[in-house]
Amino acid sequence: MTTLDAAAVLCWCLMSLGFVGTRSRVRAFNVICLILLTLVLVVALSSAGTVRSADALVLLTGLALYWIGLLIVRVMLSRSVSLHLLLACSSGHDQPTMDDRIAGRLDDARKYHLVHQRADVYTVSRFGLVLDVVLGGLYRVVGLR
Amino acid sequence: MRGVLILCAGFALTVISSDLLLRSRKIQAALGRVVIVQAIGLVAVVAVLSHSHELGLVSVVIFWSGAVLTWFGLRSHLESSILLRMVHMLRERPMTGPDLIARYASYYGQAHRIDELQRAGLLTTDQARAAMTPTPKGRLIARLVSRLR
Repeated sequence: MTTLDAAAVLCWCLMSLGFVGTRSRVRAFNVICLILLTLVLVVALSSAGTVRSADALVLLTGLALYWIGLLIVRVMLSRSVSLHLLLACSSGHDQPTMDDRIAGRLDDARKYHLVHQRADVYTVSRFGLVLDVVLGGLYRVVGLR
Repeated sequence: MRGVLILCAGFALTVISSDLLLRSRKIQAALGRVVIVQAIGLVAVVAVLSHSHELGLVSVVIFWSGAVLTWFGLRSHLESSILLRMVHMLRERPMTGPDLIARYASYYGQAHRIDELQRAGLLTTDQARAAMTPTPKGRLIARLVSRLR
């Protein structure tokens, strides 16, 4: 195992610990990951003569993807309606409901300029149309109706 | 750079295989099988690359972990995102808020999601209480989610 390998493994472990430790403090998590990734980049540059460039490229790309993946999982943990239902059933206090969450997403769509509201009717914005063209293609690729 | 190409091609093939396995099922309902397919893909790529000595094992495993996690997150988000689906529905025709919420609920509402959780073995019907209760697996995931939130 090279020094770069050891640094990358350590970075991966610390990113995982950072994910657990920072919980919903996403900004703190991003700062930790940015510092860790920069340190690995410094190690990669300093060992340029001894480490293959392909290895350094793959390691850095993998760590960056791991960071992005953890951020997506964070979004899922905080926003997933199915997880919310599971937690509500687990707590046993009351019957779960998701209507308010669905309505909340419509507000998000307006906030992100994906839809316009005229009178009571919602229509897709230009930005929403572009997103939907990409989305429609992806739905077809993964076989979603 | 041949090693990088082999790695990327191997990962792409594994993702396509996972997608074929899933078809229209949700990724979270078939997570075990997806993990097996991904593990087979990783072992195959490591075996191919170990002959050519073009990439180290650590590089390949770290790349794979990041790529799989990102793919899982994007695929899962694509399947279940309420916001994205609402935009897609609104493109078909403009709707009022209540109409859109009702349309979404009939597409993938609470009943569908509870059904999905049951099929994934996370929830079961408690006949005595006439309510949904989590299975041991469901309780484990709920505890894990509560800790990570």
